[in-house]
Amino acid sequence: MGNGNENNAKLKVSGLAKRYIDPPVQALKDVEFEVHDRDFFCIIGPSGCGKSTTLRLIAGFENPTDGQVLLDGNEVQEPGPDRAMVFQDLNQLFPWKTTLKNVVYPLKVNKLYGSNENRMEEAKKYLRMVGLNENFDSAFPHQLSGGMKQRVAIARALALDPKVLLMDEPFGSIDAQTRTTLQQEVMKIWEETKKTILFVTHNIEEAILLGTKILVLGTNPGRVLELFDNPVAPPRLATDPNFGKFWKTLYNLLGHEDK
Amino acid sequence: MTSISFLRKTVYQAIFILIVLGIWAFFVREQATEMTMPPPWEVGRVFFNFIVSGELLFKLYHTVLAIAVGLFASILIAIVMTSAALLFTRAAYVVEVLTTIMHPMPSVAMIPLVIVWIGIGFSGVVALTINSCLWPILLNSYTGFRAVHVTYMEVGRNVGLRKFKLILHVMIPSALPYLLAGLKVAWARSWRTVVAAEMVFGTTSASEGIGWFIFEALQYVNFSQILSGVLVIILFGIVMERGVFETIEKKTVIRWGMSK
Repeated sequence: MGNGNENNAKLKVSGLAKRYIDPPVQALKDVEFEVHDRDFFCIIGPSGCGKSTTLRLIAGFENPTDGQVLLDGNEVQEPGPDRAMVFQDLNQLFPWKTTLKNVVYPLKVNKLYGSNENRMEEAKKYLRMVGLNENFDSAFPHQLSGGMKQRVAIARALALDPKVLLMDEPFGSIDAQTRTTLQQEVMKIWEETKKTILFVTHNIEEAILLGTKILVLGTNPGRVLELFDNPVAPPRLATDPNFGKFWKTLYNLLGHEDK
Repeated sequence: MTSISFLRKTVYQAIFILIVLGIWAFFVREQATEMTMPPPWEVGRVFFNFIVSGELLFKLYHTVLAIAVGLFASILIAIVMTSAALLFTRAAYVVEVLTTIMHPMPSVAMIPLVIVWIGIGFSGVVALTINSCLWPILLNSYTGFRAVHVTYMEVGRNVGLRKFKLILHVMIPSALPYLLAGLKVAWARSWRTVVAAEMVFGTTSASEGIGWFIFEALQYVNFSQILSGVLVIILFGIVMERGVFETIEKKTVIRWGMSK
């Protein structure tokens, strides 16, 4: 593999295919796209379009049947903290560790930030960034609400300083009100940290609100329908006429695919 | 559990035990002769004497030693067998069929075989203990490790954990409720086995445990001694349950919200 200089893509997905044998399903076929530095790249599609499979292949949890994923020019082989992931599952924090330890432990495993004290400082910095004050540092996950758990999971992933932050419908199990707050905070964090984010969702509003780029996938087999540069200028308010127009475009594209 | 609700639980349980002792005392006064059922205070006096003389503690030491050795050996064997079953499908098949056959097997049924193959000494008692402890430990740990929440494993791999650290820092804490449950069952079963084995082996060897202490007393129809032996088993059980198992649970699985 080259070092990626011929192409500035942070993440390059080419000819990606995934076929399952039992039951026989072509989950993905010839999926291609590039994610560039500081993109907020949203993948949207109806259920069964393989958007989560795509993310899992990028994360390295599964191997593609065909094609490859290049991160900074190197082929992805296995999971790693350079692609830290936030899951949809509200039970993704280790219940036997406190909030702070959940964030510190992965840093320790990867020997980041030099000393234990620095790791504590960094972990606290990210916990404050996602809006959790020091009262929650010593709380155990079962004492937190669903929204707070997802905040901690985001802090844990951010603290690892990944090349690409992967988010797999992180607010899919959260109530609508909390979800709105969390979306705004993720937006703010993206602006502050200049991270490259790959975000999977099935929610059209969420994709328009967050994404700089929006990739639409279709079903049977899972494949790329279209890639958009978000035409709605920030702040992407629902009252913006462009918002409604773009929403309709995406809706028709997805609605058509459902049949 | 908070310390207040723990205290309240203890008070209620103490009241219940006092009521039982009261009923016992009442019926002994009304019906029984001292021969078949001494009153609680008589048992208490005899028990106290056995403790002071050191005799009962000496017997307890022998029984607990057999239990400790048997439990420890069972844990080691279970670790090896669980690892094999998790790593190799064929080993899993073997472990499964072994557990199915041996788990329901009463230890008493194995006594004749142990007498012939191993003998009636300490090692025979330990062998029977292993047979009674290994299977519940194995069954629970194997189930516990297979039940580890998939997301925890994926998070572990995602943040860079591999093999050994993944087992130590994700799988074991995750399976801890099962591991503790297996140990508690094994602990209870080891007492039954060791006491039964001591009763059977005791007549023919120099066995010194609680089982023989109780069985011996039957020959002199010494009910206070029989009940003293039972009482020391009860008290030691309470100390272990309250002092060890509940403390571990309160500091781990209950604190972590993995168990109520």
